[in-house]
Amino acid sequence: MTTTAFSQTVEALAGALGLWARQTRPIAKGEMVRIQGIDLSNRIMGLDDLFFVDEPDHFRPRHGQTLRLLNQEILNTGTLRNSFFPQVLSSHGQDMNLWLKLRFRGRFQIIVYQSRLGHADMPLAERVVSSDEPATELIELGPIEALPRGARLFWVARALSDGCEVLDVTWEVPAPTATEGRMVVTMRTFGRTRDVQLLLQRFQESAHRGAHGHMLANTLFLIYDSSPDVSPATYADLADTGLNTFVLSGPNMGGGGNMSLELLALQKAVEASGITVNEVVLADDDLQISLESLSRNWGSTLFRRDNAFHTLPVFMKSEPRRLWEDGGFWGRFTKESPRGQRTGVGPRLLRHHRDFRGLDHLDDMAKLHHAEYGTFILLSMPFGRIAEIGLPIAFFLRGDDIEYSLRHAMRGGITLSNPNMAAWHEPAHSYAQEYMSIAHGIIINMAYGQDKPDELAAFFHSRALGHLSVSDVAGLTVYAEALADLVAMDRLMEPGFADHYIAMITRFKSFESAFTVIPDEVIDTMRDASQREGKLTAQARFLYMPTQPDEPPIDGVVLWNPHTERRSIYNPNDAERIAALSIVAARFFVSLSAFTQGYDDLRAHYAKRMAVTSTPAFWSEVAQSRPFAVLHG
Amino acid sequence: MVERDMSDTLIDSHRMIRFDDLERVTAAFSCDGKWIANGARVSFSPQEHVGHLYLDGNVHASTVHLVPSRQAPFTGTNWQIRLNEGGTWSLLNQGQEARMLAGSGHFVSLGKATLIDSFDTTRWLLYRDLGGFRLRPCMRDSGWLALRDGQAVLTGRDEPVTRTHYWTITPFEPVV
Repeated sequence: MTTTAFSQTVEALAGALGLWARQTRPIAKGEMVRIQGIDLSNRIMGLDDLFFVDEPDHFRPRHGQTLRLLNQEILNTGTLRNSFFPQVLSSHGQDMNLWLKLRFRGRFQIIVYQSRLGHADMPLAERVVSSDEPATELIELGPIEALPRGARLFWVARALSDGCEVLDVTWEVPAPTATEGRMVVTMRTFGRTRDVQLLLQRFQESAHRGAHGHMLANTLFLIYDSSPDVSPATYADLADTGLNTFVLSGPNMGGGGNMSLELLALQKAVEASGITVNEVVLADDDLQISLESLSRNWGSTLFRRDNAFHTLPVFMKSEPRRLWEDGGFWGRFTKESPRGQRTGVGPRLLRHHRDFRGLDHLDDMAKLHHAEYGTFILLSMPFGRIAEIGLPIAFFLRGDDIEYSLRHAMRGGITLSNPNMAAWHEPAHSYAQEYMSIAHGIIINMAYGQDKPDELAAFFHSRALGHLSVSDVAGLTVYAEALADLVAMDRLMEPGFADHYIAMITRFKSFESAFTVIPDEVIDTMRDASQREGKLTAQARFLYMPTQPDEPPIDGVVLWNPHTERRSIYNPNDAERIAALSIVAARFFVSLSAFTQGYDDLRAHYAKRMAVTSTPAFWSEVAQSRPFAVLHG
Repeated sequence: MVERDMSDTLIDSHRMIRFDDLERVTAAFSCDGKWIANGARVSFSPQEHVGHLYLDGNVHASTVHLVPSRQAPFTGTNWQIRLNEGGTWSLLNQGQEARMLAGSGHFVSLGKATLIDSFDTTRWLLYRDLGGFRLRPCMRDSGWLALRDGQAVLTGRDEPVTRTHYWTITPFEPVV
């Protein structure tokens, strides 16, 4: 594959942006704009109630199904995915009038309801419409800002004849101002090319139903693929999708670094092309999101009146009803750090673990929801904000989104979650990710308010005790290395940072080879044998295990990684293990001492590195003399 | 008022069924002057063949057919209707819980309550209008119960409604 310099890639991107801009369609003041439509994307068996109300005489269409209703059948959108939550628009958008537009054939009764906690559902409007041919009905609902706080709107259609079809129902507003309405969706990937292609393919399938034409014309998908062995042939099929796409390849600087390089390329290309980009979306390569959700993001941000970061509720892929995070707070309001001072190195994930069934939690979701940070799983921001606050700093993985959001907040920005959107993503954790989470978490805390090391030292001490109590060399090494790298001040957030991380990740990945799938009955055998001898087989999670008591003495350890369902078993009293543990422990405590003694110097050092690595100059230098290529566009 | 001819297709001037008074039946109802309540024993006839064809369940084979009589041996023409919570109906063949009328896809059969993709195959929605009664199961992909080529089937959701979709419900009176 022919590679080019970064500047040439930027030039190609600028050309593509110019071509794209010529075919985008600006929005005129007063023009009716689609804010939200029907989400028909559900492919998961048994999850229908999150999309449409589940009653015996209700129609619950599956993915892509035509909305043909039988006589007297009801389509009720009062659900998580198809209610309209207006609070984001009323609090962060310009003043707008709200309309419901129904395209239909047949005879229908349609009622628009308003739902609020503590109140019965209130009908706002009702119509009986009838037409043998496709027809349109517009229902005016008045100013969005006049809707009560915490309200949720939904519509219910009842077929009054046979042969009824709902062609489309959309919430629309007349544009309060003119706008170019251009949105760039950025994704970076290493090793998940297939996932990215599948996501775009699904967008294409949804696009064929025709509801998203304007949004898609005004959206460019910018992909940064740092996977090995990709070439233009890898993305040859993209031309068939009809989506506006541009794919570049470049060096792998981690999810964080790749994002910065991608945004730098975009910034330079936008400047070179002279076009306007209104909104930029930062998205992970392994999220599941419907085109309808993306469209709702476009609709919600077209008429911003501020520079708020928009995030969204993120559900677990493996438990699709379970909400994993809806924004978060960093280092505070957690069990370990329950108060407002940032003293912990863990997140407080908001709405964590809520289980959604039917109408559960919808009233809470209707409330305005601000978080301290939003995840790069999906984050939407005004394009111009990048120039104001800089690029994500040189964190390979983990913490880049947290820091970026805190930086945005420090400069007067807020982060909100849009409940009209949803994504599914599988949380994962590993030794390598813990190393990065902790090292980066410490740097974040040092920069954002933690001016004493006391609680951090206590954290490390507590972690050490836990791992020492079960002779866990791997776990203790994670914290030993994090501390050592922090106090060295010569490898994190330095120009060669990516190579260092790749080496660390490779090393930590080797620890995982000790974990395999072990049947419960084998563990039971170990446990029973220990008990017979008055001893204990200690069983614990591979990270954040409690300190094991002295009695009874431990003669076996089972560590469990819940993300991989694999376990590691070993003898904690093995002499070689204890020797290795001692070396790691010694290194750990030396570093911990240096950390606490030199905390002020560390703060100053990393504050400087944050300031440097958030600049275009730093990333331009990173990009210098590294190979890039245009894979598509 | 919609004009209605006596051919297979119930038409109005726009060639569509348009009975504004299709209502869902969710409680005891009267039929030809007789009161049909929860637990009543009834028979079902395709409206075109009232008095000539009856919906019959074969409890041994768990199949459903149309038969010409309610006399022995066609004891399966006896259906006990049960009103469920939520206003749906279950049709128990000869009162047997394990032999309810079940609908899935385009087929009807007899069986126990079964959930397919969270839909209960033995829950039915009952409607009536000027044309008579219509039934359909609470299943995503299924249309109305209808007569096709001498068989009781579930039509597709797209299929226009004709006279073959209508049924008559008659209290069951065993003929001695």
